[in-house]
Formats: sequence, structure tokens, C-alpha cells
Amino acid sequence: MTVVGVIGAALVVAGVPFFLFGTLGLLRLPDTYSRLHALAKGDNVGLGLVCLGLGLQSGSVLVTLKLLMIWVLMLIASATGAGLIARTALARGVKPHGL
Amino acid sequence: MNELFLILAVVLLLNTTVGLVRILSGPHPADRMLAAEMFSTSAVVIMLLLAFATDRPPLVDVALVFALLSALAVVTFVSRAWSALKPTTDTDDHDGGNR
Amino acid sequence: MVAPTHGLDQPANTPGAVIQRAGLNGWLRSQKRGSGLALRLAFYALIWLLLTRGDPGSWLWGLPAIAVAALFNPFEPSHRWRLSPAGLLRFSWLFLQLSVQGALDTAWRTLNPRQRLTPALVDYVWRLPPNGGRIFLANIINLMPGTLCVRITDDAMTMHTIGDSRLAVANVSRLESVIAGMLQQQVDADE
Repeated sequence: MTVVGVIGAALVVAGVPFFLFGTLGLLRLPDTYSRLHALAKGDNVGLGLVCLGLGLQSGSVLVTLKLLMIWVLMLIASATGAGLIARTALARGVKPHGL
Repeated sequence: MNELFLILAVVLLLNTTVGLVRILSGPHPADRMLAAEMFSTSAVVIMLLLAFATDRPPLVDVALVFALLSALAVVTFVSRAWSALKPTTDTDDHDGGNR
Repeated sequence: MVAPTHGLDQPANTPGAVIQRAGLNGWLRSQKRGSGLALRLAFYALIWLLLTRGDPGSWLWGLPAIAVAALFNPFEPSHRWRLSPAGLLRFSWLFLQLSVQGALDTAWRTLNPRQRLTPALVDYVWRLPPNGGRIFLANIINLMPGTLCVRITDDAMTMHTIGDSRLAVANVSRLESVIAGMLQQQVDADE
């Protein structure tokens, strides 16, 4: 077990709680907009940590870059998706909670 | 190390199961789509963890396809499915899954 | 909403229209002039390298595929991309910082939404010029602490914020300056 491998595993473990918080937010937060906040931000940091961690574990530059490519793809997908859902929701008259 | 990744994959799988509650309770179509988006992120992470835990690199490509599809899913939902539904009129978010 | 129209005197730049006007050779030449055939070739080759994990046998199929894909310029040939490498680094660093901050911030608010969730709608007036990364900024702030873009107009965007909206606006303003630096566009100074 190399030092880099241990750091990688630690990053993977550190990424998972962000998904748990994302789900918690999905269930607990009061309206569509705040749920979007919780999901978009949490899941992507979680995915980023897992990708980086697995990349370090693999010890290969190519695999790490490929994992980072998947991360960037998901970043684009969720940033655009969250924006699309939020803008359409407001345009269709979904009122934000507490306003 | 592989056992650790398998355990994390199971944790994330349970996490998505909990997220199903949001699909059942809605109340807006957007909320259900949000939960689906959370599933796609989790699917990517679970695939990546399984790829490394079971040492099957092709699963990384499966994760890549999931990442690409998640972008398409949101766009399709917003541009097609949501527009076909009736406009949202209620603003109260705590009425549970009555629709 | 005004659809982006090519003026009447200005012919459309779709591949079909250009081929009709200038012939296949002319179209190929316009593709090369566009935003750098060499750059696209290098970029697609890198993606292929990553996808195939450096398998040497895959280049037999990869090279023709890359060459054909690179011939098609996804952007308008007249559009010049000017990306400053230093600006890209500065943006990436700020993006990473703010993403982690955003994830921790939302997690903290999720733990006690009744007290820590203070939703507000804030209008943010663009400093970026039109065509210049406005949509990029609007999408990227969805991943930043406490901001979500809910409406885009010609003059401003409306953000849904949870938490301190003044801090959120300051963050977006910082991000806008860095994006402008990355795309080499002029904006007014950060207030």
C-alpha cells in the first residue's frame, strides 16, 4: 500500500458523505429550488473526490485523466440541468418557498 | 481495499433507495426529475467503484455513457415531458404525493 | 425572445449553405480557417487516447474518425476563440475553491433548514458582454455556494440564493471577472 494509494482511498471515502447530504437535502428541503441547490453542489464535489481518489489509486495518468473527463462531463450535465430545471420551474410559476 | 470500495458502493445504492421517496412523493414533476438526476450521478459513482473493486476497466466506459445520458435525460424532460404536462398552479409543497 | 438571426444580407453559415455557395473545396477551406483545425485535431486525439486508455491498435480506427470529426467546425467559422491559459488556471482554481465551499455550505444548511435557509431572489446585472460567456456564468453559478440561476434576460439574471445573498453576489462578481479574464473580454472593475 503506497502513500498515494492511501491518500486516494481517503479521498474516495471523503467523497461519499456528500452524496448522503445530497439525498438528505432532497428529502428535507422545502421546495424545488433549495433541493436543486443541495443536489447540484453536493453530488459534484462528491463525484470529483471519488474520481480523483480512484485515479490516485490506479496510479496511471491516463486513467486519472479519463476519470476527470467523466467528472467534467457530469459537471456540465448537472450545471446545465439544474439551470434548465430552475428556469423552467420559475417560468411555469413554481413559487420559491418563503417568498 | 476492494472490500472498502464494495462497501461504499452498497452505501451509495442504499442512499439512492432512500432517494426513491422523493420520486414517490413529488409533488412537482421537477422534483421527480431531480431525484432521477441524483440517481444518474450515483450510478456513475457506483459504476466507477465497481470497476475498481472488481478490476473490470470496461465499467468505466459504462460510467461514461451514464454521464452522457444524464445530460440528455434532463434536456429531454424539460423540453418534452414537462411541457406536455399541465401548468403548475399550486405552490404549497407539503401536500405529499397527491398527483 | 429574439432568435439569433443571420441578417438578410449576411448568408447563413450552415455547412449546406456554404457548400452551395463556395463548393466543397471552399467549405473545407472555411473549416480550416475557423478556430484552428490543428487545435481540434489535437483535442480529439487526446479524447481518443483517454477513451481507449492508450491502446495502440485502436488508432487504426481512431485516426480516420478524428480526422473526419475535426473537419467539422462546431462553431461559426467567423467566431474566434481566445482563451487565456493563465486565465483558465485562475478560473479552475477559483471554481474548485468555491465548489467545495458550496458543497459544505449546502450540507450545513441541510442539517437545519428551518433556521439556516433564508431564500431570496436577487437580480444580478451582467457585466459580461452579450455572446461572451453569459450562459456559461449562469450555469456555473448553480455549482457555487448558495446561488441558482432562475431567469436570464438581456440585462440581468435572477438568482435564487439561500443564505447571505450579499456574499453570494460578491462571489458571482468575482467569478464573472475571472471568466472575463479567461475569455479575454473587458468588464468593469470588481466593486
